[in-house]
Amino acid sequence: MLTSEPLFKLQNVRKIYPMGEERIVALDDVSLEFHKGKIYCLLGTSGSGKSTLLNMIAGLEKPTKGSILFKGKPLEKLNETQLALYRQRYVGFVFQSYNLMPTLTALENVTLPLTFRRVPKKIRNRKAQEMLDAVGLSNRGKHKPSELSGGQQQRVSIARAFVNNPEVVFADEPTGNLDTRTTLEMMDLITGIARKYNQTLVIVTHDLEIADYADQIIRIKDGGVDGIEDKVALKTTTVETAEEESIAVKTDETEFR
Amino acid sequence: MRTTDILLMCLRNLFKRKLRTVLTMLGVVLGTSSIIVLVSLGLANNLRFEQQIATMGDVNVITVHNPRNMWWSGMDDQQMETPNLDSDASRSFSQIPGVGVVSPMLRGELFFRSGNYAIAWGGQVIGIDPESMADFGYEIFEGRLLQDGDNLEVVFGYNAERNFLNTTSQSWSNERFWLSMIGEEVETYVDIWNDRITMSYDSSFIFGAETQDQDIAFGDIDAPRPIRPVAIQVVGRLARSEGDDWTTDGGIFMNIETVRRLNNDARRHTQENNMWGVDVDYGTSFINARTGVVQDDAGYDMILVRVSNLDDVSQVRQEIESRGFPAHSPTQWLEGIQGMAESQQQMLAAIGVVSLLVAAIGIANTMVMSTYERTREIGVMKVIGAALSDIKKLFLIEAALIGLFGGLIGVLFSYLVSYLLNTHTNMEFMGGMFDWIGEPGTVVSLIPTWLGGLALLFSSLIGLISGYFPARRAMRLSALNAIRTE
Repeated sequence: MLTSEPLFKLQNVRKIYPMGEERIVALDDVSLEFHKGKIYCLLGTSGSGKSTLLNMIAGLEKPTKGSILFKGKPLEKLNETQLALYRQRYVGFVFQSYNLMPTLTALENVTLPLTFRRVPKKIRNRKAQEMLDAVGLSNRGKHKPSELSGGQQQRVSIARAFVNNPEVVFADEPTGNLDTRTTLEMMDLITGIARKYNQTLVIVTHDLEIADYADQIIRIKDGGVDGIEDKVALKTTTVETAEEESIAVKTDETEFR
Repeated sequence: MRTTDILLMCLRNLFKRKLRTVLTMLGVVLGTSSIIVLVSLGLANNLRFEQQIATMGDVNVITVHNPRNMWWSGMDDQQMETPNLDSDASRSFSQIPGVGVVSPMLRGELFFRSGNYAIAWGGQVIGIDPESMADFGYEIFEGRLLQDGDNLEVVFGYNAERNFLNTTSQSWSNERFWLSMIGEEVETYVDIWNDRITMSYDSSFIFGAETQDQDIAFGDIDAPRPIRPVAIQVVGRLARSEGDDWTTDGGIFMNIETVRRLNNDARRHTQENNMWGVDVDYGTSFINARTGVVQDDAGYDMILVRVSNLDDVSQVRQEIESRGFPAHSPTQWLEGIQGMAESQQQMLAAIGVVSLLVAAIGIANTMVMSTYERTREIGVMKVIGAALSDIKKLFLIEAALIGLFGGLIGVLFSYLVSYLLNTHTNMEFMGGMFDWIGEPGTVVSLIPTWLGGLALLFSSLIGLISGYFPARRAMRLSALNAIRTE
């Protein structure tokens, strides 16, 4: 079996927060691999350390010990400027509370990552409009976030995360603020885009239903990995639409390449 | 980020918090305009100063008076110790650095007559070194200037001929001279070019019959002479002096040596005919305290010192004064006023600087508040890929824009204030604080383009500096903590 080099490789990652006199161990000796084009779910209760793990892979936090390799390069060795560049080039983000810029329109919010990359206005507007079309908000580009519903805001946020064509998209409780129906729509959307462009998706959640969308569920408990559940086989048998089937087949190919 | 994107985002943020932006700008507006207006007052003051100097004619000339002629000298035997304004002094002045030409001058108390018309007073006879006339800027209107060897040849000032008054008339005033001084056309009684004019140091000769052929030969100064008028010849008439200097326009110019001889004659004559002692004006002669004899001396009434460069005038004057000679220059009193105005302006400018400082603190405060408010926004921008330098630029440029716009409004406001000052100047304005500003109708405030431009640049710079620390704060915010902030 051929295995490609993992996108992320965590080696004995440990994170300790000083809390006054005490030291709280948020993560202890975690070693994981994330591969290109797969969908991962970090499943755990609040306080389990799943968010800390996500933040470290996203370059927002540094491990106290251990190493996080992105394409073989250690992220923890990068300085602030380099980390900003890393996020700009390779990373997309979907937040629980959307975090759109209140002063910017939906379209402008989507263009923001491209703006940071100095993409000319004409090109970035075209790309952003394509993304808005993809998330089903073609006519809402001129609206401010305050004029959109929660679901619509999260769609804008998703469009913003993917507009840059990143290698990996992190989603921290992306549906935490949404109702069940919208949650399912949102998950279909986000995993659909990720699969379509062969992007890695890392979702943090405590919701089993959401975890169901992932290729691999990584259970986190008390700062450690409590079990890894490969769902690819299951997924292949439960697909209902042709599109999802093709994606699944594609995923299989990747898996066994 | 591209510069245009940064600018647009800054403008959007400023516009979103309109009220706060306007209030912050207001501080900059007041600071900028107070500085501009104060500088404009100073500039206008300097302009008026220059204009005033321009109307004053030759401002490079220092007039040095003979200390022995001053009211405080000649009263006791101390006067021998008072320096004399003589040819030695003249020579020493010419060696002071910056001095161009030096010309002694001697006043003569002389009277002129032509038929029934006479110059009894007002016609100052000025003895001058003929060679130096051109150097001191005397310009000829008709005829020629004095030249070496002139003796009874005289040059009249532009209006001197109008000092001839009718001695038989009841009204014995020379209002005609003053009328002509203020520009009225006044006919002259005497044709100075053709009529016979005689001169004497004795005023009584102007009345009564005119005797003919009374010319005296000069040279034997020791021999006492009877008072006999001599005929003079007018060889030139000066052009109207710049600044309408009445001493020049009403003056009659002669060779200084001639005047000295005549003065000495007059002195002897007075001494010989004076029955009441010595309490008469002896001009440059003085009375020896021990012998009680009036002596001739080689002193001058005054010495004109022409300084090559206007900037050196004050320095040369002080040097001459330090040698014990009273000296004054035409710009002297202006310098005093100028100095007062300057110190007043400096005080006001200090107030302006303080107000701009307050404005700067206002900007800094606004920007710090802004970083607190937008902590989450900053965090999100960082997470989705904003470079640190972009975050910094966003805040720096926002602060600079507050400065720039505040400055812009300040400049416009200053032009308005300047216009109002120039059109509605009231001497009572601010309790007479601006008395030195000048009379209504004069230029009170002057804002050249460079001043406006400089103010804009300065206010933007103030904004930029004020924004530096808030920008650094924003840049250093931890992205993770920022997005956790609710």
